[in-house]
Amino acid sequence: MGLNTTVGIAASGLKVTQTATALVSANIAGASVDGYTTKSTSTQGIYASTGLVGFTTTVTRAFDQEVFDQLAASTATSSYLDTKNTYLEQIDQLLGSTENGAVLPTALSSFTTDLQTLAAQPSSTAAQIAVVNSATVVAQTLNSLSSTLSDTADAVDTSIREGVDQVNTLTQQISDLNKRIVQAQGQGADATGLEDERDKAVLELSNYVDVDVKPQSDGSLRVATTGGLTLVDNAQATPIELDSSGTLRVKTASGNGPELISSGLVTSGSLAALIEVRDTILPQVQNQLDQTAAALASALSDTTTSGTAVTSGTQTGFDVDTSDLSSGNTLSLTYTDGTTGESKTVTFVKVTDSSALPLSDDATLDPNDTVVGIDFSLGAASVATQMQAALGSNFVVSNTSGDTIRVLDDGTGAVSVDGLTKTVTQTTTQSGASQVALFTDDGSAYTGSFDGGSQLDGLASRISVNAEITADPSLLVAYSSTTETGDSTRPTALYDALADGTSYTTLGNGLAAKSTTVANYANSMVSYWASQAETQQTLVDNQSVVQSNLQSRMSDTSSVSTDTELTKLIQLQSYYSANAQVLTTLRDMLNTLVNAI
Amino acid sequence: MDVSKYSYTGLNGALSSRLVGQRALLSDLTTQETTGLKSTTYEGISNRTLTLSFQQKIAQNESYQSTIDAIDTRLEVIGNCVDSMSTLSSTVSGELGTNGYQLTSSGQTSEQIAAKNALEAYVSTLNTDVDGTYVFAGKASDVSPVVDVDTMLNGDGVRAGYTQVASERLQADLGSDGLGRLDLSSSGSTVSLAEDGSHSFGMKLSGVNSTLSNVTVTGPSGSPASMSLDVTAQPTAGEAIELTLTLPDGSTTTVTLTAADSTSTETDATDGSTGTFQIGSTTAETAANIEAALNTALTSVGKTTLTAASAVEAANNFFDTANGGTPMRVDGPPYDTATGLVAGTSSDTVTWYRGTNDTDTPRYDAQARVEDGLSVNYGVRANEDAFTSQIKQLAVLSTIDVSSGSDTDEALYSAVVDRTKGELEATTGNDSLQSVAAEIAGARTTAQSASDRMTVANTTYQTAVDSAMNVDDTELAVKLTSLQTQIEASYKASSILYKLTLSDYL
Repeated sequence: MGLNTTVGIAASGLKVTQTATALVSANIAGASVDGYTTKSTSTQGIYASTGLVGFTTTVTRAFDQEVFDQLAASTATSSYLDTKNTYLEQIDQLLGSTENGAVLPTALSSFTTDLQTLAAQPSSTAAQIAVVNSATVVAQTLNSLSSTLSDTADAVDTSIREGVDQVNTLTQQISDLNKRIVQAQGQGADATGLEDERDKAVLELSNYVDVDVKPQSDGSLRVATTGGLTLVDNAQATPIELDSSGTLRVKTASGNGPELISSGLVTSGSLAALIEVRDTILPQVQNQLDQTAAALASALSDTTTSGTAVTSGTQTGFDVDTSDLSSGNTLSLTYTDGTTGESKTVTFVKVTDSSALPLSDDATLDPNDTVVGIDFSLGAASVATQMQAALGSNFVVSNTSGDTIRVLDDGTGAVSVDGLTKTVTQTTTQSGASQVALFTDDGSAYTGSFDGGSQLDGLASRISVNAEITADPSLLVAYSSTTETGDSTRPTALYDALADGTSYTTLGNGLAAKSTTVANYANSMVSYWASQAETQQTLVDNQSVVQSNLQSRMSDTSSVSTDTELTKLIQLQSYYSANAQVLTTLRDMLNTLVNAI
Repeated sequence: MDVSKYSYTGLNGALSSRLVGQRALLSDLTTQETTGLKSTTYEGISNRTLTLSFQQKIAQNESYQSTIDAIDTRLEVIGNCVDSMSTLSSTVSGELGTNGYQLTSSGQTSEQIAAKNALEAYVSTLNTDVDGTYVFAGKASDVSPVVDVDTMLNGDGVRAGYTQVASERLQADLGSDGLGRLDLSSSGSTVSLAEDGSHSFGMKLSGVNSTLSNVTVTGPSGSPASMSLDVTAQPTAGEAIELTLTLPDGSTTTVTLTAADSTSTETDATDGSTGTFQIGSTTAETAANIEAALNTALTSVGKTTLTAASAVEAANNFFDTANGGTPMRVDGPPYDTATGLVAGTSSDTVTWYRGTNDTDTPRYDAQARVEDGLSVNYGVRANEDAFTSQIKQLAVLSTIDVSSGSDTDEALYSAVVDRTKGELEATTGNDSLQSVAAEIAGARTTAQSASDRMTVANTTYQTAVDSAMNVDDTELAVKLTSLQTQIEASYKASSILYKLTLSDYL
């Protein structure tokens, strides 16, 4: 242990103090920067055979990996809930405000009121025009709600694309940082700044997808989703893409990479929420609007009539004339099973496009019926054959003449036919029937057709008031060419159908179909989305408590405390002076030595 | 995505996010204060399903009430019209028969003129409209239901009115010889009297009651009915034969012929109800006398009672068109030998009622829904029996020709008055003015009480909706004040915290 060693140690000590001071200033400067963690030095002594010869310093970060992992997971969940909440709130606001009344129920209510006024004063031109006007308002409301939903879907799509781009950028960034950190650590350089950058990138990535981080022994970070998809492995980043049908996939050359959402590889984060909004929530709202439009149009335009009862020997049954059925109209057969005593219903749906068959059982929303699609394009005889095939041997179905279909039981008592009704859409305005197609689908009547796809899809965006009636409002009263001006038959029938008529509708998302009026359905729609928004808001509020707690904990550990830094500075100042003093003393001692010679 | 929202170091501290949260709550409460509503969307309303359905019910009830207001005017007008028609009928019927047979300068009695005026008033009342809607026209409410009195009575030159129909009927009822479609003849000592055919015109033999001794009365029997009187020997003076005749309007009259000898000074009644015949020297002479007396009597009946009955029946034919019917006229010419009625067409006969005339019940022509499951029916047609029964009498009274001032015309006038007075007084009972008024008043009461019920219900609903949607001003004021205090305290604490830094002390 000589004086030289002492000089070396003192110089080393100065250097340590300098490094520490530099760190203090860096900390104070970086106090306002997002993601900057407090850096501190840890000093180790360098020992040679002679003892301590100097010091080395390493920079360490104040960072709690476990808390960070939890924060990343919580961020993904918060982002997911927030995104979903934004869109649910938008839908809730779209459907109505409390100041002006919920949009769709109010329009329906005004329309019903005007119909009722017309029923009491059929000859009043003002009342007729009022009905046409309020019907137009209802149609326009449905149209504009649909169009807003469609715009929202476009916006969601854009957000998804942006999100995908961001994810790819971030994973690339993280993999680059991994490479540089491994390099720096291998060279023994200070990689803490890079690590801060990397953590910041990981947290930003957790906004988009749920992440699980695993620090590796070589200093790199392995980033995967909780569902098991590796996004970054050392210097490798896995890109993702949105394919032409809008599915999120891992990007591969063939374009058939594994799907992310449906296979559960990505379960949280804003991308998952946006996909859910685009694929589940918005279509659900659209479907509800379509059902409202369909129920409204059908209630006013469809007539249900019973067939004529016939008997043939011991067989009983009904005849029905099918010549006025449009594609999508139905025949409904009710019968009692002889052995079980149960009453059953079979609904036959007319199609003219054979590729639409077979129809699924939820082609009608009634949960208690069996649905059979019948192709009418080959003539009534073929219709009878198809019906016979569907019903089985307990029934006898025949085409008696023209378009009349006769359904009889087989006379053995195995089944007994209770009724056969047909539901027909009135396609002309003065057919003599009191129902009329007041609302049309782009100019033609809405018949619930399945030819070339379901006519129900997107009906709300196409529905409009019958142009004939807009041009001549007296058609609201004149149901035949000889109707007298004060005859309230048609307006009363339309009002009764709207106010009291029920049909099966469902709110979607697995909820059972219920038979209810159009107005009640519209109300339940508003109520449903309002409660969805409320529930979501509660989840968001709860999650934000968790999130801010975790943020606080991270902040406590990693944030720069200006007071601590300044205290350190004071101490370092005195250490520096002390070290300098040692050097000065040593210099004096050496000088004494040199001068003595 | 706003990344800084999720960062854990740097400028975003937990304290600042809490301050921001409080600020947001303050602005939300301020919004509530300004709008008066607890939330701008239904998300913030508790009991939203109930609130939505109450709002719907309120709107529905209000629409029912506006319907009720609209039809109330109409019902009131109908009620007033029926009342005024009732007054017209009772005024005219009160006057009938009180002035006897006094002709004014126009050739009609004052009562006939009053009847004509009443008929004009009836038609005008039945043509009442409320805001362009004719209330007595059934469903065809854009057309005035009753034609004007002149066209109704006198036709329009091409199509026949009531007077023409009545005159044709009179010819058919009187026959060519004025004996009321009866063939009267005698040969030897037998007198025969027979209806001239099977039809509904003229007089029908319905019965005979004879106290004449030595005269064999056979009949009336057969179809068409006929009878004969065989004078086997001379009857005694003072004995009589009473013949009952049925008239076209369903009423009956009697002709009583009393046997008289040369000392009798009785005169025949002007209306043919009584007469005498001389007992002749031979049975043939007596038979001839009986024939002559019958001839006189029947001719007199023809000019008086039969004419009155014919006019009344013609009114029935012309005016009874309810339930899809048409005016009926005598099939001819020639009219005096006609055997049937034929329906008048729109090109040859005036249709006095132009409103709805199908087979449905008139009340259902106008319906209004006043409450869930409750409708009132208030359609009225001018050709309902309540109104037609009055119009017929007024038409007959105002058109019967009694202008000559003779005794025959006096008898005719008296016969007409007898027939019409009773109908004009009978405005109560089934299918009468009173029953129509009662039904309309009943509809009005039903509608009014429904309206009252709905007012009460709406108050209840509205209270529930308001309590769910509106803020309680006191509660809100307290919240705002306490929140303000909290925010001020937070600001103060934050400022103290941030002011404390070591760098101030170095």
